Amino acid sequence: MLKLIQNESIKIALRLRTWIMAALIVVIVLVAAIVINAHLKPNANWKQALLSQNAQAEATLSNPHVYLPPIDRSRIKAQVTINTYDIAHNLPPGHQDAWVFTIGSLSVGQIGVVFVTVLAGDIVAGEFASGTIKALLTQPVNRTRIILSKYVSVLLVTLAMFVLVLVSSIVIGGIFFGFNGVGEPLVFVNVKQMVTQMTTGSYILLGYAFALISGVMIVTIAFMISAVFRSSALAIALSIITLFVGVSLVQLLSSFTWDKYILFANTDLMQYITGGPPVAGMTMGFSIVVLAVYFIVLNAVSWRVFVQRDVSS
Amino acid sequence: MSNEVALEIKNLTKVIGRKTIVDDLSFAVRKGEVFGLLGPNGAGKTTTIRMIVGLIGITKGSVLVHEVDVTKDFESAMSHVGAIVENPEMYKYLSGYQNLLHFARMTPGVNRARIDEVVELVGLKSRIHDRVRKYSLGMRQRLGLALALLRDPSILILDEPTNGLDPAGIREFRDHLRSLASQRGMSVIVSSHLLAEMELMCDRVAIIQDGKLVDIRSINEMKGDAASAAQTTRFKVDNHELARSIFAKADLACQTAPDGRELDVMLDPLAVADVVAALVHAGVKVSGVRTVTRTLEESFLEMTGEVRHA
Repeated sequence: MLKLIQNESIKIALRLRTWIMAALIVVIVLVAAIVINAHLKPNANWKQALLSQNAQAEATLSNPHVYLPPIDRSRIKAQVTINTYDIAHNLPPGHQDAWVFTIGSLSVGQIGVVFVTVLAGDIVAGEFASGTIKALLTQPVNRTRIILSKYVSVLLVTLAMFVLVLVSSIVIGGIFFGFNGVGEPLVFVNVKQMVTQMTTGSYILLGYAFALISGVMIVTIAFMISAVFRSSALAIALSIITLFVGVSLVQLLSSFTWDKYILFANTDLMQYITGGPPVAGMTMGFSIVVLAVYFIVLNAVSWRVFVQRDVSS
Repeated sequence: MSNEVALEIKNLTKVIGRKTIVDDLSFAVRKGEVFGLLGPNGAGKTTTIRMIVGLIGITKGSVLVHEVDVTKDFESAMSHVGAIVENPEMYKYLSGYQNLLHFARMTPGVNRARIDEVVELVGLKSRIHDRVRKYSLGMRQRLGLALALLRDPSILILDEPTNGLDPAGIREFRDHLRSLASQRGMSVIVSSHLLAEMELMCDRVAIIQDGKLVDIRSINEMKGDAASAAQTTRFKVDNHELARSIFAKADLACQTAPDGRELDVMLDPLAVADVVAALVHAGVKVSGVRTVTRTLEESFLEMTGEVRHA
């Protein structure tokens, strides 16, 4: 089995496009650092500005003539607390260091997921398109082992991609903004609009772990499409369309209660740490169960179609 | 060639939708024999081969490789089988060597020494580290053969192996096959719709039409045994009626040749001189006498009942 995974990994690694994608990821991180660095103008009066912002907020909160829903009220309160914290710890708004930058790079990870989707969409369909599937399936290896080795390789690539984003962000971020504060507490607003804190290091690990889970789900869809359709182009296009349509579909249908059963309403577990889920009443446990069910169904479909398929023409 | 059976097909049937592509096909291939599947395009040859190597499912019947059922223990059955199905497609972005290394990892016991051996055997040594993208069709064919031979199979299966090869390539390929079968005792199964090709390659041929087995013949049998006494002898004469009466007197069956201008008689070669003498004596002008070996194509057309208009 290890040798089969080695085979699939080699086939990915020996293609130029893989390295173009990897280089693109590093370039995007680098460009982000350059742009942020150029706009990082320390405002000498930032403490003053935050203080007056806080005063204004307090005034709004204590004004009996202004109606505020409780959620907004708590959001404003949280912002005040964060502002106070920043003033006390001498952290100007938009301050950067390697760790804050690395958290921001999670969005580069999402671009990376699109790249891995391309590889996953091609990994089975590409063998059909090139005709190499005939040689691959006439070896003394059964089809279950073949598809499993391909899937594991896709997961390894997904993991490698996130590691690349993480490491390049820390290195590039460190060069541009310095390495201060990995053990420092990171203050953020949680789901209940309350101020919470955890160490920056833990926040980064949590963020990347959840991003990896989300990436795995999306890549699994691409893999299933790849196993079902024998054309690489179609598989890749369908996977990317699913990714984009899926996310906006969740927002579009958020007024329906069944919206929460859509895969894309559950892929981002970070929504239970900060921000909040798209449909009220969803919990992290619920999302994990939904993800697990999708995971099993998608892989069962890939496996079944691949193992049963007649390879003709 | 021994009588040991390497591959046995029993009542093999493939139904797709409502169409029966392969219909109750049974045959056995012996050790060290080159066995041909012969039939017109669409007869079910490729479907049969794809069922043997597990590329498509079997509707009914079984394929036994050294008595191991392919559907029951695919991995152990396939460890005896090397196959090229249609054109050998390789990873174009890898070198020939990397391709072989890739497939070597899928079979236990195939090491680099074995790869070097098959590369040498198919004569691809000088170009093996080039990318397959740069290979000619003939080189790809040889790489395909190297791949099929990699795990030293006892059964080699080739589907339309010479498709797209030039005559020199076909000849070279044929010589390879013959020596593999005779020197290594390998059983080779080839499919083709080209009779002439099968005639040169195979020991026995299964003739397939509309998914059904028409007949299994040894090539020698089909050509007409060379040692057999009677051969079709074609006479070019001016007076057919007179000639016929003389043939009748000598108890020789006579019929008009396909072109209508000559007469065919089944005749022992040693008797030709006497018959000609008798004809000349009776005043028939004989302008040509030649023996006609029935071509494989004629036998084939006769068997499959196919009428071809030239």
